[in-house]
Order: sequence, then structure tokens, then C-alpha cells
Amino acid sequence: MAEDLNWAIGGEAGDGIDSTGKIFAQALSRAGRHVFTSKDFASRIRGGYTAYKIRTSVDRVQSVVDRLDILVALTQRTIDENLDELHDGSAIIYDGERSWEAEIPDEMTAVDVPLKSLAEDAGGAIMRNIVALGAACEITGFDVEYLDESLEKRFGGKGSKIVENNKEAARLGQEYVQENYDLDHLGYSLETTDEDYVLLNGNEAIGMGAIAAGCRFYAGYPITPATSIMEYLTGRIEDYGGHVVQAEDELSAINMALGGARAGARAMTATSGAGIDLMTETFGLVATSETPLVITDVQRSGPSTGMPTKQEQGDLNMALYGGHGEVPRFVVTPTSIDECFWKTVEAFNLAEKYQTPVFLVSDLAMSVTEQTFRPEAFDMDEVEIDRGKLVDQDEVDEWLDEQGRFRAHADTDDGVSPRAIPGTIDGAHMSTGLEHDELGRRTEDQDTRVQQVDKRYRKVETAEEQEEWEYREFGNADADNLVISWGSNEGALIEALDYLEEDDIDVRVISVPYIFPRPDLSEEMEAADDVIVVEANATGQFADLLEHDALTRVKRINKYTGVRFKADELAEEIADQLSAEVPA
Amino acid sequence: MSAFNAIGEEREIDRDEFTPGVEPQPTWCPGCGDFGVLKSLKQALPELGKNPEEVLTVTGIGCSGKLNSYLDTYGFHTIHGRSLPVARAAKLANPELEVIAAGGDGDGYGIGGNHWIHSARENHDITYIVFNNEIFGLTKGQTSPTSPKGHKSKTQPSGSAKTPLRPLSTSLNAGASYIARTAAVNPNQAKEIIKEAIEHDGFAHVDFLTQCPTWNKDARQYVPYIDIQESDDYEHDVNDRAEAAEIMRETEDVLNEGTVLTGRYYVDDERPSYSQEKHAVGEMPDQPLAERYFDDDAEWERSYDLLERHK
Repeated sequence: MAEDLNWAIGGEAGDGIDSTGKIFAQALSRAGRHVFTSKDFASRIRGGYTAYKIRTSVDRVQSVVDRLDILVALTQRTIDENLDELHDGSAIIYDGERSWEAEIPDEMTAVDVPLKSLAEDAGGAIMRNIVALGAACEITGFDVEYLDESLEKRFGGKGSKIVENNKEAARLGQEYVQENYDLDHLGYSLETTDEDYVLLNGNEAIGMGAIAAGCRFYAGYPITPATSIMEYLTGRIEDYGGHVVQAEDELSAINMALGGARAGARAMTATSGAGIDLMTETFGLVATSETPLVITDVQRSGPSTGMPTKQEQGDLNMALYGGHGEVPRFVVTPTSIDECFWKTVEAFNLAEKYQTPVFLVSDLAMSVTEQTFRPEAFDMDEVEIDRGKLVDQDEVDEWLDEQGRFRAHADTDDGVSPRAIPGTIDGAHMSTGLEHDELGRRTEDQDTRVQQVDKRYRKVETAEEQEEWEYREFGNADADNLVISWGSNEGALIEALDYLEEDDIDVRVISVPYIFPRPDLSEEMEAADDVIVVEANATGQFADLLEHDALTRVKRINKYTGVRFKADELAEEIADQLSAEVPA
Repeated sequence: MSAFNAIGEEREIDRDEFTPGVEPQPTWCPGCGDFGVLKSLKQALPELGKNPEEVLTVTGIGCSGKLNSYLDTYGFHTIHGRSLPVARAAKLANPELEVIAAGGDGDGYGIGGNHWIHSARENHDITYIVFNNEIFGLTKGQTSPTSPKGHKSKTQPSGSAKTPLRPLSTSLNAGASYIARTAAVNPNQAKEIIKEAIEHDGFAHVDFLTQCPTWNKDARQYVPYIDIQESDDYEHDVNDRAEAAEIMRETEDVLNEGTVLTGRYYVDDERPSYSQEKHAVGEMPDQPLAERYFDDDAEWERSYDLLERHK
């Protein structure tokens, strides 16, 4: 099991919690340590409680755990909110000169640092969080110099004076603790390595994947937690010849993405919660007009406005079934942050090869978590682009009927028709959300209707045969206990295996990144004594699918508190379920 | 030189090229004003030297939505109220295309009203033709956003309690840079206005009065009509926003009293389009987004640099 340290800074929204946390995470990453971050936050701009948490180790970390070792508390509430995670060996950094009286349980180590005064000494009270970072460095035996590069990156744009002041603030914090406290008994000592990591969150990975995959048009409307994809692309995609549009609503966003795709650009939109409801209107048009489009849903707690800043995997049924009529589509669900990159690339290829909407379903937990990876995890040379049956001016003539008209919805063996982009001579055609014939002309003729429905679903059959819809596997492949999950729970499950192993519980974990089409797990389920399906929703939407596929019953672990699964918690739940009865 | 061979192709264009081989005859009712829009487009496009294959016609839902079934261009028939987002994005992705959006008054002023207002506000460089017949035609005669107050229908049997929407004034307030009204019964004016709208660099909104002889029998055939540019009774400077606002308001007020005013209402040639604004701040690349990698041999640009920023 990873020897880890769990650190957090918490205060009110508006206290600069996020940027402070990120500076520390970057410093750890640059020091060759693995990092896995999480956030406690609410949908408000000021006040309340917000925290940025970092789990770090020299080994790979891919989950949060129920333990907090070092806490920088800017408010009493930060301490209260985390009492369950704090323990006897925890150290809490706070500013005793501030108006609030810190109530810290006696068994914990209270580290009173005059954050504000020291920040003022360094040049301004605004740097108090940086003083706290310096203090944290001293407690954890982490060289304060590692903060320097992160501070340069964060404040470089504001001039060298600001950067130097911040460096000074960090040192004042570090020296204050060194001079006033002897905390060696806590035993924290952060080792460093020569590894050269990159640090990014799931939404950044999706944005980077989109650019790498040749996405050149993005339209979106701000919504938590999807907005950071749009923010990532804006100011970057232009360097690659692309453009980002902020639309007036989600109806417009998806239709704009569709318009960009019709004109020939690889296009994407991303949203969450209520936004995906509005976009549902257009799913059918994308599918029947056979336009390639990537629709990203970064799930959050629903229904309605739900809990906008909380985790949930509640949109699976929407992605599978959303929209009236029968809408052929693919549903891809990346299981980790690096996979957010690769599945985005794959989504663009699937969309264009099969001229079908592709739902890329991520979630809030991945969108806010920064994680370290070796740069090779994002090897751009491995990115392949397949534009499918896009025809240019030389190929267009192969697809004309005897009267010279382009067959945009030609009924082919694999179901995939040629695609001509407006501006191509001889390619002119109609396309419509009405049922249509091969030429795209509307029709209600029974035979043509059946031909076109069959053709569109034949694309899915072709994809099922030609593409690899593989699951990811961890733990012991021969174990009698099988745990199945989709989406972002993978990391917590992998770490849960370590806890289970300590209790001599042998488990095979299958993590599924494709919901439609999906791998057939009947044999794997048949071979296991116990099958447990883990997902962050109340009703077990994936469990329902698997029960249907394998004609059996499974055990379920569902969590819908709004908080992601933690490795230690999952291990306990799995152990409990293994001794429980299978539901009737 | 575009990567798309129909764009900028120099040749004589015949208006028959815009008549599709399949279904050359529209299924609109005899006497329908929609014929007038089709005819004016078929005249205007070849006169402007437009190749049918460099034109994308995007329609909404309603009788008007069938426009591109009868006009042989690249056609995309979308869903109710959503033609504008599709059209303006296609134009952004490939500015060399001629993009025309069209729909009815229910489609554009009702369910798609938000897109209309924002397309005007952002001044997207497209032409928007609204087939305004003051009724829902395809669903058989229900009250629409432009139906007159007191208009009786199956859904408003006691007469509409709502004041009709003001298409011209709303468009002006929203920011459209070319606003005109024409009528199917005035084909010469219609053709010229359509040509101007297509040529205009910015959001060109044409409110096209299209009589519905089947479901809106109360409505006049929009005759007699008055061309405000031709008539001695009216005089205004089309570049003057205040004067335009005044005559628009009058035009909207008198329509339901039987006076049909048409013509050019507002033209702002100075206002940059959305694309020009974005280009000026470096957010819109020089080369069309759609063209950049159309060629199979194009070197795909990968995000190597982006990864560096995460170190």
C-alpha cells in the first residue's frame, strides 16, 4: 500500500483555496512525487466552506482516503468539517492572531502561525496562504525551494517583485515553524524522486484530447462542472486553427456544434446536469442526419439543479436512452484521468467513422481532480485520426446515382455512407431530421423507412465487430469475487484491492469504459461466486444493464451522498457485501 | 483558393441549376406565399454568381422548412427553432460558404426566438429569411407570435389576447445590421432585397410576408403593398437607427389595419460581424476551421506543447 501523506487547505470560498492547493500540488509533482487531489466546494462565490485536498506519495495514488494528516485551516469550520478524517498524529496550521479562537482537539498538534503578520512582512496580507504553504513544508520535511517554480508559474505574469515576495512569504512561514516548534515526533518526511510528471485534471485531459484529435470547433454554455473544458480550449485551440463559441444556451450550443460538424470541422460540445436535458432535443437530428458529433457530459448530482458541485453517476440511462424514438449512438465512459484523453480521441474517431453521436460521459470527481502521470501516458504520436468515409472532390463521383445525385445516405454493406462537405462539386444533398431516402429526401415510404433504420443500426453492428470494446481488469483474474464498475470509480477500486488483500480477500475488478456497445460480461459473471456492481447513483443503472445482459442478479454498492467513493470505504463495503445475501 | 472546389468557381450559373431533379414541384398549397421566397432565391443566387454547391440552406420546421427540398443547394433541414445556431456555426467553420437560414414566424420568433435575438446581437454573417404568415400553417392554423390581437383560431377561440411580436423593431434592438421586409406579392422587390441581404456582411434579417391562403383566410394577401423607398409618403435614412426605429414601429402598427409597408428599414455596413470581431482579437484563425485539415495529406497538429504546460 502506498505510503502517503494527506494534506489540505480549507477556508471560505474567495480565500484563494484552490490556487494555493494547486501551487502545492505542482510543487510536489515537480519534486517527483505522485499527487491525487480533490475538492470540497459549494456552488457559491464567497463564504461557506471550501477545501483543496492533496494525497501524495512516491508511489502512484489514485483515490482519496478517509485520513487527513496536515490541515491548513483558515476557518474553524474547516476543522469541524474534517474531524472524522483528522487523527492523533494530525497537525493543524492556523493563525492564532485572527479573530476566531481555534478549537482543536487536544490529541492533535496545533501549529499556530501568524500567517497574516508574516505575509505582511513579506509584502502583503494576501500572501497568507503562501506563508501557510511554507509552514506545511517545514512540518512535512519538504524543501521550501520546491515551491519556487510553482510560484513563478503562478505569479510570473504579475512581475518578478510579486514572485520574490511570495517566495519570501513561504520562507517566513517555514522559518517560523522551524524556530518555534519541534514537530519531529510527527514523523512526516516527504521523499523526492527524479521523476518528471505532468499534473492535470479530467477536464483538461478531455480538452487536450480534443485538440490532439483534431477538434477545431467547440460550442458550449457555462455549467459546473463542464465549464473548465471550454475554458481550457479557449486561448489554446486557436493556436491549432480552431475556435470556441460561447452560445446563448445549451440548445444553441449543441446545434452550433452540429453546424460546425456539417461544415466539415471536427466538433464537440460539453455540458452537465440540466444542460444535457436541453441538448437531448438534438440527439435525434445528429443521429438521423448522420453527422459526427462528440457530446461530453461531465455528470454531477441531479435531478433538476440537484447538487451542482457534487459527484454522481446518474446520467447513464439518459446517455443510453435520451431522446424520443430510437437513436443509434455510442456511449464511452473514461475510467481515469489519462483515459479521459484517450477516450476523447477515440470518441472523435468513432463519431466520424460511423457518422453517429458519441456520448463521452465523465463526472465531477474526475473533472476536479488533479493527478500526476508520466508524460508518456499522453504520447501524442500514438494519436490516430480516422475521418471515415469523408469524400473529397475526387471521390465524390463514386457515390452518385444514375442521375448524378449524391447518395448521402447510401445503403451500404457496413451501413456507413459517404460524407460530402458543403462546397464540394457534385456533393450537394439534403439532410434532414425527417425520415429520408438515400438522397436525403424526406419520405414516409415503408420500405425506405425500414431500409434507413436498418442502415443506421447496421453501423452500430459494424462498429461492434470492428472496434475493440474491451474492459480493463485489476486484481486477481481467477478470484471468485468479481467487482464491476464503470467510469471514475476505477482508481478507488484499485486501491481498495490493497486493503482487501490485507484481509485475505481475493477480488477481480472489471472496469468498463464502454456502455454502448459494451463488452459482454456474461461469462465473467457466470464464473464468479459473487458479483458486486459499484456505481455512484441510487438505483444501480449499470447493475440493471448487467443483470439484463447476463440474466442473473448482482449485489450492488451504490453511493449517492454527492461524495466520491474512497478506497478504504470501498474495501469495507465490498467485504460486507461478500458476506451478504444476493437479492431475490 | 479554397480546399472546396465549388467555392469561388468562376462560371456562368443558370437559375435552373437550383431546381432539384427530384421533386421539382413544391407541395405548398396553390397561392401560398412560400413560392415567392423560393422564386426570389432562385433569381438572386445566380445573379450573384453563386454556385449551388457553395450555398448551404438551413431550415427549421414548418411549411417554410421545406424550402431546401425545392432549392438545389447543400441543404440541412433541422428541428423546430434551431436553424440559426446550425447556420451560424457552419458559417464560422467555413466563412467561404454562402449560408442562408430560413423558417417561419413560429419557428423563428417563437420557439427559436432566443437564437434569433442572439444571432442579431452577435451579428453573425448569415442571411435569415423568416416566412411570416402570421399563423402556424403546417399544424393547421393555430395562433402564432405574429398573429394579430383578437385573431381567432382553434387554440385561441375567443381571439388572441396577445399583441403580435414586432419582428423589425425586435431585430433592430437586438443588433441586426440589415433589416428589411418584403412580400411574396412583390417579386421584384423581394429578389433585390434577398440579393442585398446575401451580399451584406453581417446578420441580415428579411421578414418575408408569405400569405397563407389555407389557414389564414382573414389575412389579406398583403396587397396593396407600399414600398417605403418608392412611395413619396415615406422617407427615412436606412443608416439612421432612430429613423429606422420610428418607421418600423409604424409599419408594425399598421399591418393589421391593412396597410402593408415593405422595403429596406435599416442597414449598418460599418458594424463588424462576429467573425470579424473574433478575428481582430486573435480568436478566429485566418484559415477556415473546416478547411484546415480537409486534405488527407494535411499534417495534423498535435498538442505536444499543451502537455509541456502541465509540468
